[in-house]
Amino acid sequence: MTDDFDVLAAALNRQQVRFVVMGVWGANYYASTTATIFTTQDRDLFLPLDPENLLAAWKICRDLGLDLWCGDEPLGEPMDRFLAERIVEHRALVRATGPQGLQVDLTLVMAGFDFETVFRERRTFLVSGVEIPVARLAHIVSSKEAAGRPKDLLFLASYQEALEQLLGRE
Amino acid sequence: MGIDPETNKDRIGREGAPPVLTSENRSSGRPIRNPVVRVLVERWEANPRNATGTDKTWVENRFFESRDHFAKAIRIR
Repeated sequence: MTDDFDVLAAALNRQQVRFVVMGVWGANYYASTTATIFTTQDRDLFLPLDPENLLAAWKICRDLGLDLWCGDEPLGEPMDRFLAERIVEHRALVRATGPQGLQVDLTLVMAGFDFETVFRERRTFLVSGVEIPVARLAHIVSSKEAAGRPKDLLFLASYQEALEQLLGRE
Repeated sequence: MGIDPETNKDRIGREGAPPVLTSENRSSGRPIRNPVVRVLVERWEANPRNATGTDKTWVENRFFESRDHFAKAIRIR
């Protein structure tokens, strides 16, 4: 089974786009059993404040047939460096959506962290033969703490319980 | 492919050994404030099944199996 996300990740790797998976989906890669996989609608990719890197990511998404959105509007054309610079300047989130329900958030912000720290300490996992760069679990959890939204606090409470059960069995 | 998807047993090998905090497991950046969670996360990250290079294909497979299963659910009463 090859997921659209794996196809996207493989293309990003080929073009040497720098990114790491963060958020709940990133934490899922550290799961041990089905019971410790958390449901989420989207996958969050953390990218550096680099217009060229961001532009390359957008072009790959477009070439794969994904739609790009900024807020409630399609990402404008022309898709060029000027637009990428404006998005970086505003730290705006761009969402890529696919026909099979794929939803990937290209984000330039990870609460409490800069990209270089997260990228330097990333783990690389294999999924269907594709290398997936994933933020450290410590960084994902710490970022959730820093964000402090109700959904983050709910995740942290659930995740603490899951870890206690996992480690209690080890 | 001979891997127990739930445990990645072929990669673990050292299942009985206690997790060791290596340089890969020391985190820089903002530390986790909750001391209980911090210790839990450090221990879990140090587990060999979470080392770089581990095959995590099973995570995505299980996620989509679960999602598809519930998508097929029909209310009967």
